[in-house]
Amino acid sequence: VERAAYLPAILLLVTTVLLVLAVYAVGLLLAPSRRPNGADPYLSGHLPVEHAAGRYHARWYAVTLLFLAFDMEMVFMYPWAVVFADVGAKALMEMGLFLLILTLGILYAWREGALRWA
Amino acid sequence: VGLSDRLRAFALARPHILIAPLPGGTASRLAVERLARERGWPLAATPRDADVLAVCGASDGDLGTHLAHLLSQIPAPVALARLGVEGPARVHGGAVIGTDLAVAGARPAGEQADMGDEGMVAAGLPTAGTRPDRDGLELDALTVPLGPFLVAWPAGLTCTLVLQGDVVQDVAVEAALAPGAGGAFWDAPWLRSLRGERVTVAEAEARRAAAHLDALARLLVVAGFDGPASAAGRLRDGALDGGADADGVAALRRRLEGSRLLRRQTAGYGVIDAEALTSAGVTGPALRATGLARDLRSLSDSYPGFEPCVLEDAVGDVRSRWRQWLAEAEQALRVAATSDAVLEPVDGQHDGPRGRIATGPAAHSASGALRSLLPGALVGEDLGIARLVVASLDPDGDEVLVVEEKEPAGHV
Repeated sequence: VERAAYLPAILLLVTTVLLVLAVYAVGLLLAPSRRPNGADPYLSGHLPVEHAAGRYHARWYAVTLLFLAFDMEMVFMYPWAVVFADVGAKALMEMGLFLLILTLGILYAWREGALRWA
Repeated sequence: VGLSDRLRAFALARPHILIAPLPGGTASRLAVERLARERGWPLAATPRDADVLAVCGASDGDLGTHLAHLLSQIPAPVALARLGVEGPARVHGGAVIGTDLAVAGARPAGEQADMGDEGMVAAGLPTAGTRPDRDGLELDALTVPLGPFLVAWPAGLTCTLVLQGDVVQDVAVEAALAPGAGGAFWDAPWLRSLRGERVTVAEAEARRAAAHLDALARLLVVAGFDGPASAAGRLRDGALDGGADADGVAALRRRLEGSRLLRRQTAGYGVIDAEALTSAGVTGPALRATGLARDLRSLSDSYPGFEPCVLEDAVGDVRSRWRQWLAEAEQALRVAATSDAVLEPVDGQHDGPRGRIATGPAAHSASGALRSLLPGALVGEDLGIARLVVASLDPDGDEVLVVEEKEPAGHV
């Protein structure tokens, strides 16, 4: 077994450990305070009384579905773009129809207030 | 040791200042803002970004624990500058360093909040509860306090919002009183005139223009227009120094009225009609921003030929209110430049920057009236709009203080 072959890996390990220790040492020497700040949120000088982690607002789901519809549309457009030059006008018509249906969908969602926020 | 001192000096060569205004501390807040502008020191918006906490005002009053908590959130090294009512005489002398503020009220790390019988706990805090929402759903409602120490926020005001998503569902408004503070800076000329001192119209009108420009500067900070905000701050300081620049105000007005972005941000929001304003007792520019030409100055002998300033397309929304400030500031500076009259009250009253100013038992605070409108104006708006609405009504913490000092206890 060629032990010398492991030498670069060992050197790398040692250097890494030394560098990490050096970063801690610089921090200890130069930090203006050893006591770290807490992670309290800034609430204009108030203490938090509730944790902000909560369930998502239901309105996000409607927005998510709309996003997914248009995200998938983009997925369809990639293969379409590849064959578009070969197929020609027929492909253009098909994609136009597809986009039209989606656009009507978003207009409907808009009218129904799915994007209304406040 | 030498290295860390030099590093510290390097890091603090351009300190970021977090201003904590207390009721009655307007004069020293203005002095700090001016100092920061002259030296090119940035104003911090949050404690994490701050190096210096500039406490402007005489006494903490009820706000001491909030102040201490704010200080505990600033990363070291931190300097505390305590500026009284008069302004930062000590800052000019060099470093004002000291941490005589007891750090209290901060939650010790690892402390667990009591777990209720039901409900979840995250990081030692209960998670937000729920309440019905306008679509008939039970959705999370989070309690979020705005103020007392929030950038560009009226001194001493606390609005505790209940938010669903970013929509304000409920508001509780409190105003802190700092006992024994120095009085209302913006109302000073009129209050002196009511006490029988001789005050010129020119002085009072320059103060009015400065008050409006200050309110505008803070609204522009909330709206994210930092450049025009500092322009308004410069014009404000000019008006206070006696170097009135009505043309500068007119130029700022053209610039802001031409901004489509600011129009979209402020037009149509926070509409309060004249009837609601009058029944709340609002008399100042906020009322004239609905198109009502009601101004005590037009009845005063000190103002010959005075026409109340009314915008043609005033609708009483946030945009009308800031445009009204600009129009009135320009008008006030033009009056100040030409008038040599002495200020005389009409029926023992003056029309001050926020509304009528009077003394005695019948005293009624214009800012108190503006503050009473806040809950109705905020509910149903989203958080960003709510901040703009508060900035556009801008109840003056000093003024609320002055009036409530004189009235018997128990009046809110």
